[in-house]
Amino acid sequence: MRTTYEVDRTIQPIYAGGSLSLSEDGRILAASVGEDVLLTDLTNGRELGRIEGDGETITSLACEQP
Amino acid sequence: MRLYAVTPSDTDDTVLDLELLRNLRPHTSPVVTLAMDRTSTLLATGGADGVVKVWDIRGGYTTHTFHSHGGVVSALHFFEVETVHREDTSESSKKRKRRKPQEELAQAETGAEDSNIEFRLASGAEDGKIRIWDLHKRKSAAVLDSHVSVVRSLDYSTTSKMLVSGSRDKTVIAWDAERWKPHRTFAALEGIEGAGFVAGGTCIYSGGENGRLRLWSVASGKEITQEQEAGIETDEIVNILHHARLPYIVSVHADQVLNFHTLPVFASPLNEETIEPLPIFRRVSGTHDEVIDMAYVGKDKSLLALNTNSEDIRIVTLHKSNAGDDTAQGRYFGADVGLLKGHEDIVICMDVDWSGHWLATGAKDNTARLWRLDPENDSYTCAAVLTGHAESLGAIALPHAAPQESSAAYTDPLSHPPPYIVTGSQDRTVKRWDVTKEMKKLRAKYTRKAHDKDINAIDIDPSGSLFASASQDRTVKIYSATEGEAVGVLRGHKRGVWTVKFASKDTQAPNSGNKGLIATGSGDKTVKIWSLADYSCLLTLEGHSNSVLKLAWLPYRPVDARDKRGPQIASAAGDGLVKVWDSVSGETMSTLDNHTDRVWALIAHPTTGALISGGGDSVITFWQDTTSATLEAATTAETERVELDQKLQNYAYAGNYREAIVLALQMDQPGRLFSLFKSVVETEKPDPGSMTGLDTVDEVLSNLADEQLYKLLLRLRDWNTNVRTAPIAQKILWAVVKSYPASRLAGLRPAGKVGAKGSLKDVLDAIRAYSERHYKRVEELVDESYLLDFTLREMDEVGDIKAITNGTSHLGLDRDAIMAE
Repeated sequence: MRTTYEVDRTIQPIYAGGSLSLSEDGRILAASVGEDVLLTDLTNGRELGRIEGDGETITSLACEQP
Repeated sequence: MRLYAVTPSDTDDTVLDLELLRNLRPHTSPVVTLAMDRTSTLLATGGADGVVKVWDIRGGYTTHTFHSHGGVVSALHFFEVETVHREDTSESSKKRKRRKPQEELAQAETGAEDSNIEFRLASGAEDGKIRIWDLHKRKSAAVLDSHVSVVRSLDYSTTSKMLVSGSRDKTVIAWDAERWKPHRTFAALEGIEGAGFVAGGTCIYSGGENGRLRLWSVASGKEITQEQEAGIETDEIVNILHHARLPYIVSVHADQVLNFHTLPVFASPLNEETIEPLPIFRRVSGTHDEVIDMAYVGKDKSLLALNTNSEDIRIVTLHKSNAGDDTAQGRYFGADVGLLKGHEDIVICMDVDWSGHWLATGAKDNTARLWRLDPENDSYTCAAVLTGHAESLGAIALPHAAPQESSAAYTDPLSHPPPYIVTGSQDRTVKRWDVTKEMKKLRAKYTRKAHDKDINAIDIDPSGSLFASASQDRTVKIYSATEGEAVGVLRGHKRGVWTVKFASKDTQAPNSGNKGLIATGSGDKTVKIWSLADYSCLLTLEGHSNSVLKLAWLPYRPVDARDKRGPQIASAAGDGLVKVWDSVSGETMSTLDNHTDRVWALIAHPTTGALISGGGDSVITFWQDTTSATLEAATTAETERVELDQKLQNYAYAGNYREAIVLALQMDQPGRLFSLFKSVVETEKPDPGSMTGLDTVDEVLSNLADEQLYKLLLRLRDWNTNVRTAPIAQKILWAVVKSYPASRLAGLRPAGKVGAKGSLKDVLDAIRAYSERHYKRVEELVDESYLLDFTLREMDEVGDIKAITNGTSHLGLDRDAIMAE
């Protein structure tokens, strides 16, 4: 009898329309998901970081590697 | 507008630290577009108000403000031009820049005469005008007025000294940067959303409305890529990502899909021959929109087919390794590996056969398709198209019975398609299609008028002799698969039935010979379990607060004949929950909560019982069965508790107070620690001169490590708040305070991370506050005892019971005195 389940993994949106930007080496994608900005490692699909939004729509974003 | 610094985390390679550098309010209207220069020193913002501002990123102040644009600023691009020493190659100037960005900036701002590199900013606006700004002289260097609609994209090539602009007026223009005149205009005949240079400025890429990436020769103005058929609305390219170092171009489409295109090797000078469209070597789905249905693919169930409310079926990999040798390839968990293209309208239903190699889909385009999935060879092809229904297909099913293990069909499922397909349509009929060798055109074997309303689901029973159709007309009908004759009707649901699933062969309805069970889920929020022997409802499972949308039986393996536990079923519902039920008792065994919208899709792994759920929130959740682990953890915890208890008792009994106290502190067992102290303080034979009652305990208390001491103080604080436990706490506190110098106590820090919650000050404040309250209470008691004394004395004069009462009152006083100490 199975009684407990736990979340093992999830597949979540990494870009849901709007603005997005790619790092110069092509590794990191910064993209808006709702009011947040999500940084994704495109080589392994991992979430590298999330910038929590402030309730306003993201109209534009840019990233640059100095 | 916010600026963040992104740095690799010190502790974890897989995480980036984000630090908010600045929070700016750059414009009175929304910032529509941003651009940074190559060195990350300058940032340009374009507002909806037509104002362009340039910012110093480190300083956080505006360096330039340009007001000339009339409408929304839609594109920005920084570039550098050589002004004085033409012989300098751009290569060396780039190097120089990298070394001294700050100095360059200083020069840029003062407009130093000897600088041969100057900063320019190009800005494009809604009205089609492009302005070139000289950041040194702080004025407009040129106005390029050729586009008649929104400028969407700007790029500059230092090698060819040209600027390219793409516009929604369906043209791309290459501008000569010396004279700022159009060098060439490309008639793209589609609104352009992205354009830029490749191959050292000799070639231009563009993409837009038609959803196709195209290459153009700057020299001849010809399109290099051969003509491509325009895509549908969701294919539209909304953005193109490319950097000079990358061997690929990423096109971003309206359905949030990113397509990676391989760039060809460009000859120098550019070969003018027409080439094939750039091959797509990788697809990344930004989001799976609404996950309507899912199916395991492959015999090892290592892939997942997704129906995402679109015309195409997506196939993603579930391999947990990151073994991708080519990092650009990115075949990680959840990565797209295949796409089934063919349907001309949204796919509504799908089903997979026992092997996971044949998938049937039904769509709004009134057709069904059978797909052959060969993950090993990356081959996903449409094997057959089923046309005949007059309206959209709402339900489809394949037989799920596995052939005998020795048969060829078992060992080579790829060359043995499922024998037949059953479809249900909005035209209220069900059709059976027999799969023949000549696959391309399948014809229906029979068509049966089935229901009065839409058919929502069809399932074929494990033996392949029956199938069931669930309808919006609140009924489920059972048919013989061979003839399509209705053999039973399940009546009882109060709303439309969304899902129907036969239980596996091993499950049997009670007292029914060997007839099985069938489960249905409905808009009336219930799940019903029915017997296939007499089509009666055995059980109604209530618990969901919205429509039950999908059911999945968990793999069922009774241990032996006496095993009375029933099969389990999982349900997904419109309330965002997945529930696991016992189909015999009807009890909810588990409620799974990880979705914020309707859960449309639910599947169970046929052997492990792991669940996958997907829904309207675009999230796909993988659930692991942790029953045995949870049980084990509970058992271990219980054993540990008993062992610890015994150990503590042994220590206390043997008078080994040091071990007992240390253990109780370490195990975070305040209850046991307290009873330990209580027994010490209330010991019958206190050691004379001991603070706590026993000299050994005094010694233990005076030799604690900082961490233990801090923990002890936390415990004392808690005990001190309670009148019942306060006397013991006071006594121990007294011993602690006497045993350590004040400096040692003051230097205590909470264990663990810096900045952990609670500080020593808070702890001591709490102890003091309650101690003061205790003193006050004791003082009141003493006052009251005087009154009692007085009363007794007065009474003594009356009677001769003096001896007894006097004794008691003094005893009371003594006790108070101890507490006050």
